[in-house]
Amino acid sequence: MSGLILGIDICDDYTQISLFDAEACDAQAVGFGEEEKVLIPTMVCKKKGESTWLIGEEAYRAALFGEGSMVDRLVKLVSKEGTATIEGVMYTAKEMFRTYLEQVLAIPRQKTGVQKIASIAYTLRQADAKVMDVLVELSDQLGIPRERVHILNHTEAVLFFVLSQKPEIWANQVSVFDLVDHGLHYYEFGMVRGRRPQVVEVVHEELQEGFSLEILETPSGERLADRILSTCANRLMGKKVVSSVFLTGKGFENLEWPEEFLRFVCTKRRVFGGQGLFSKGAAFVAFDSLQAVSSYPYICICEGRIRSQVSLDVQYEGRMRQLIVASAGSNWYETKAAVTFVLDGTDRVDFMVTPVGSSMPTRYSVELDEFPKRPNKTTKIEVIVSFTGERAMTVRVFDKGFGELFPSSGKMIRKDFYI
Amino acid sequence: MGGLIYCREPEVTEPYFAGELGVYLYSAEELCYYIVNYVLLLPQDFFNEKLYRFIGVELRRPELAGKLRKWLSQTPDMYQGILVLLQDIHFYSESELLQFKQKLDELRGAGPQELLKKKGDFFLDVRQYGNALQAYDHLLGERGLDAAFAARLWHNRGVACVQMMQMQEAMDCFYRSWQTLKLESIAREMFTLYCMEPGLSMPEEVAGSVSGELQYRWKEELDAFEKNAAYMGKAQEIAEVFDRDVIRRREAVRELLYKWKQEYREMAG
Repeated sequence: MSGLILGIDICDDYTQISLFDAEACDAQAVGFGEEEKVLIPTMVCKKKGESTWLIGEEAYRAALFGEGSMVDRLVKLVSKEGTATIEGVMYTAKEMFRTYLEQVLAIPRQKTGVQKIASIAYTLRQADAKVMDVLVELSDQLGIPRERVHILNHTEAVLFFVLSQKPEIWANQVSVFDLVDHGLHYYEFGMVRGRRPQVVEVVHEELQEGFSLEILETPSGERLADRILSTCANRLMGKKVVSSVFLTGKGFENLEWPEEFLRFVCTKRRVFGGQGLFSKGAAFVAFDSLQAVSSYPYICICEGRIRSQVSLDVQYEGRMRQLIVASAGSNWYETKAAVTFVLDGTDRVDFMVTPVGSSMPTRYSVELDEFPKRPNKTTKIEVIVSFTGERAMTVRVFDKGFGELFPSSGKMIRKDFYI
Repeated sequence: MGGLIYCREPEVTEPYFAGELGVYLYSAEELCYYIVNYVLLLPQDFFNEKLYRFIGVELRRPELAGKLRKWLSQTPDMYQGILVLLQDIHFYSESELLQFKQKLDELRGAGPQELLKKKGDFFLDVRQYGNALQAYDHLLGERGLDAAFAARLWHNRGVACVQMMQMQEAMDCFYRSWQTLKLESIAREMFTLYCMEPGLSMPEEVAGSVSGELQYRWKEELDAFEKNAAYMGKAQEIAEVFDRDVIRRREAVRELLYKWKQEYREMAG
């Protein structure tokens, strides 16, 4: 398929863009501005007396020189449905975010001269339904249809980034340290052996030992930070077989200061430092979504992914079959199923929820007592299964009647389950 | 088996018009239900191009349409074609199909008069009284009917007339039936009609066949039923409508009247 394949990591502090190169089968970070910086500050600035909006470093610079009003922390603002008043005009977070996103998308478009976006995956630090909805809506407004848009959190991005590296890199566990302004995040990738299909898991932990990057401005601060990191690494990785370590985030732009930490992590392990890990992971997902068969035949267990398989026992072509409505390891935001049934001697819908690694399903039922009583096999129902979180399943059952023979009552039964 | 039957096809864009019922069918499941429950209404040319198109194009089962077309061109047995269709769609279980097959065998074995009576009785069951009267009148117009068979027809015709408020006509039908069958149950129906409809008279011959004590008991039971009727059926539907607030009540009355008018039109055929 022609068109750009993009991975965009949007955080409250910085945004990073990665462009997937289908020929090299790899993702490359895209730089912005005169200095080709890959870390784009997530902010907008409206120039005084003009209708021009700037983003990133340019926005920061304009605000610094008093040429305009700056709004930062856009992701949080969207999440809170906030507003900002500039020169007496109130702008909603969504409006400003649209301006920002439009200009961010223009960067790879201008660099490559290709306007069409074949597939895009956004990655956010945490999955926030409001922000995700806004991203889908704005992408649609900017000419990218829903089916080409994917959203994942950082943990998922780590998972796909690691899986896209050479297998020897993830032969054993993989550790990722993400040091940013507002904290220190640790991700641990591992493969659960002996299961078919294979299960891969990433565990994310926001470490309490996180510190402000401002302390790196002095030598004593650097030494303190180095000690903190070393202690963390020792605690987290000390007794584990770790093949590789990835260091990313603004704090690891310069790798000269954490000497003790590097000495520890580099012992018998491969260590990689650099930016764009999350956006690259997202770009791999964007590319994979275009393939007929996924390159990741694994059950992926992590934040943002469903940990159980949800199925129903149904009659099809005269035989009992298992119909899977949500696969274990699928992204909760993208998991939605709509299926139609005719009730045969039952007035409830039973869901079988089977956790990964277990063969014992738990039954969750939706009673349909509120629907009108009709002769057997004359009630058609539409069952819609969706998720509002990795464990929060919502089931809606609509009474569809039975054509003109038994018109629908228009009733709907909704039930939420914690699975 | 039981449970949930998975419906694979999306709803159709051009539904199949089941003219005998005056409804459109939108899915393979509805088609199966219509065939099984209204088999007596199916015309002799049920398997036609319209149906093949619906199955092949709308239900996206071209193989089944082709199979039926081929089968029926070689063996023009409509009931066999119906079974082929039902087996292929799998809406009904094996045991349900077996029962239905027995019903088809019965229909196949019935003579034309018995078949037409069954059709009339079916119309009576589904409250299409106008169509039921047509079927009975057609049969009663024939010569050489067996007396008991004709008496059963007169009785059922009487029931259809009651539903259409033709009370005098109903009384005459019941009387003709009673003259042959001499059943107490028919005498009771005539007595009930006599009590319900002022101006009607009970034939002396029938009245004389029932003791005064029995007539008294029937009257008591009828009075009790009339009292209860105020809390049942359509009376209950009205009561429920008038329980609503003013705005919703107006809407509900309109819907109820529309429903009843529709029912009456179907009843009158």
